[in-house]
Amino acid sequence: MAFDKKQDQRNSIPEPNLLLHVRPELARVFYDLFQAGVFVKAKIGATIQAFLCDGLGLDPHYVEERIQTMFLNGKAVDDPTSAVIPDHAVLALSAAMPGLLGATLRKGSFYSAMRSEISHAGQAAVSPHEGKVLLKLFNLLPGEIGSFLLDLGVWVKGDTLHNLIGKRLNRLAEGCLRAELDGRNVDVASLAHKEWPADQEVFLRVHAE
Amino acid sequence: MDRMLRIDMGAEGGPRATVAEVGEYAGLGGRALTSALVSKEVPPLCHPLGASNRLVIAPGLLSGTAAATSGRLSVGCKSPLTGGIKEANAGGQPSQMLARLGYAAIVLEGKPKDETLYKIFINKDGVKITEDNSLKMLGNYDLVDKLKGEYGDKIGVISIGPAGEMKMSAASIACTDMEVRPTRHAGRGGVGAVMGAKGVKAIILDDAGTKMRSPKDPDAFKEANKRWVEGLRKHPVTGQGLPAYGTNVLTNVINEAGGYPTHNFMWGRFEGCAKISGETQAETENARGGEGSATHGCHRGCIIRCSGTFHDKDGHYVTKQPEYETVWAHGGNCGIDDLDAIAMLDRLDDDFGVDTIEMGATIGVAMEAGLAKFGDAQAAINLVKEVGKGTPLGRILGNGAAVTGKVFGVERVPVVKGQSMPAYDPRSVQGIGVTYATSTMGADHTAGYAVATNILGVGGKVDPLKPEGQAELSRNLQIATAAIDSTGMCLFIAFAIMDQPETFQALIDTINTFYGLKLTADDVTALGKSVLKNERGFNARAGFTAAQDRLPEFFKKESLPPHNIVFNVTDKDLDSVFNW
Repeated sequence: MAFDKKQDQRNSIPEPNLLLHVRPELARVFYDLFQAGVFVKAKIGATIQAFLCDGLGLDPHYVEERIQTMFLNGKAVDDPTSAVIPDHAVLALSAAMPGLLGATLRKGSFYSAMRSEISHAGQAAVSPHEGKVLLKLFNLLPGEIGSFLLDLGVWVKGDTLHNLIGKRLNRLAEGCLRAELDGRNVDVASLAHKEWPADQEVFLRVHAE
Repeated sequence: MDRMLRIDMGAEGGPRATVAEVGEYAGLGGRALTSALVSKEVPPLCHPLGASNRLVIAPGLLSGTAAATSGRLSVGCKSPLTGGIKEANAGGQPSQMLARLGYAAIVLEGKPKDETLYKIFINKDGVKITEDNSLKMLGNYDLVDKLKGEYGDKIGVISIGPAGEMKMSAASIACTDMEVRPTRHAGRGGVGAVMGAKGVKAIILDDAGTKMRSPKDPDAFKEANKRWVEGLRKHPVTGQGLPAYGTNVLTNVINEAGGYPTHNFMWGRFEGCAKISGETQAETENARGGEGSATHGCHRGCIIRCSGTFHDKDGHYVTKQPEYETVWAHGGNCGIDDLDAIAMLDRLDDDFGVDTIEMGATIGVAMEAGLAKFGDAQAAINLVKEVGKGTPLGRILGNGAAVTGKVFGVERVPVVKGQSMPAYDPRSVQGIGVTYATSTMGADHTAGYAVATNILGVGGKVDPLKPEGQAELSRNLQIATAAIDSTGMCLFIAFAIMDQPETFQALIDTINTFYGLKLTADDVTALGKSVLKNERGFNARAGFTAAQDRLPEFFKKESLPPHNIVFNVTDKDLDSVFNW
């Protein structure tokens, strides 16, 4: 099991927010979002381990065994229990990767000395507060925890959402059962024409039924 | 697999084939055999395109057996690109077929006295060498179609395209895949130019009537191979990640690490990487070709199946799934974020018979020189077409990045020993820079790829918590890689044996039960060292010194964004790599 408890990102749902009720097979359409990253709530100053397990509700065993590769602001992380999330953090996660570099970049890799210049090292103390992390998922992870995170809710840039809906409109029209924009039912097709502010984040939830 | 086929292409009266016992090369396969033979029989100072050079084509030790994922074919010679020894290997069907036909190697020797082009047909009944000038300047795809018309569609083909005939230093040797398409290439080092210099356009293999090679202990071999297969299948890389996304799954991660060479090694991140990533590529392939199109083996018996099939928007076949290095070379390295354009470039490379890494790096250098703009996919396609046509510009480009950089006065030319660097910037991961610099092959990521040194016992039992020197890690990786390259096993097996000691044991048991041996991890180390010793010795006699074991100067001077680091491994450390 990838999850041991579910955290709620929706305590105070900001506008604009979009809730899509979709057939299960449509959820993967949204996995594209994880390549460029989605924003999720996080306790800044917490460790990566705490963020993944306590914040997102992932099973510690899953984090230990399955998430073999972690980058915090582009630096390879060896110990998620000590690496602390700063403000404006970009956290990228992947399952084990092929290639010499794939092996080298793994957390705690036998070959970690080969990439010491880009290894995550000590950092300045961060005072704890609420914030957001740009979370990227690669390789097998979107398929394994993407639906869970989308159900929980993520923030995406308006232009990113616009591009995704435009690109996948046909599949959305087939697989989306109901759409709610800021709590009001809307026609799925109309979403393609909506002017999402490019620099504004939209709170997106995708609920597979 | 106890015979060697030698063909003297310059013999009086025309090419002459001789079949003999393997002799002193008995017990060797793949890279171990090619490098031993080249080291012993090729004068190191000979011209790579001259009569004295030899082209050695050798299946691995386990090729032609039921052992899973054992179909790599090694090609060795003196390289026209580097001037040193070369082993390039490829997947596809020919390695299995050649082994089942009983040959440990084909050795092409001498040189025809004129421009006559030959094809060589090999089946269980023997060898037939025929003049066939109708094949001149055919692309690999048309060539294979023509050969299928003549010999049927059960053949395997080892061939060159126009680039090989024009003896370009970036020329590859193509091997056909399960669909008899020329998609798998021994790409690196200009081995195709040597085949062209020998006047051989194609070697056609027909293994009808042959059987799978028999192990010494069939029951034990079957049991060991079963454990071997189970180990590969259960590992997340060989059993899940590679089958689902192929090698291009690396794009996002290397980009995130800031080690994705972009715009001819100017930056370490590419803005358009998500458009050409393995995840996007697999989704595109499955959407266009049907679910499962992103998972395909390059030869029968491969259970990793890291390849796939790329169709265009209308569902027509374009090429096999472009590999990570190809997508990088023609993609991010050239600022191109269009998968369709990259697939077309891959198709053209395969058809003309050129190395995709060398061509992509060359186009990057050409773009820096101003021949095209970074990001201009159509211009890149046009430049590669120049290579296929053999125009004066195409002849320059087809001789690789080093030549192109010289001709157009470019300083940032990412080569070592004349060979282009693959898709990992050595400033980000400095250990791979050590391998690029010191490999006997020129800049080559696969020279130190066997990430299982701890399990293999190469270099002793190193404490994984202790930071080891870059030189020591690179040395151990190069030794382990040379050993695995000799088995015919795909290097991707290393990921499973790195994490699963029982899978390594299954591999050792597979080899031992097949040959009736009692190999140990120490023997693996000894084999790897002997291969490297042969190769280093050849290169030294060819005039290589420590000065060739260096990265280009710009890697020490230009810091790489986003981490703003330069390559800082000392020359002293580089020179210590082969001190064992």
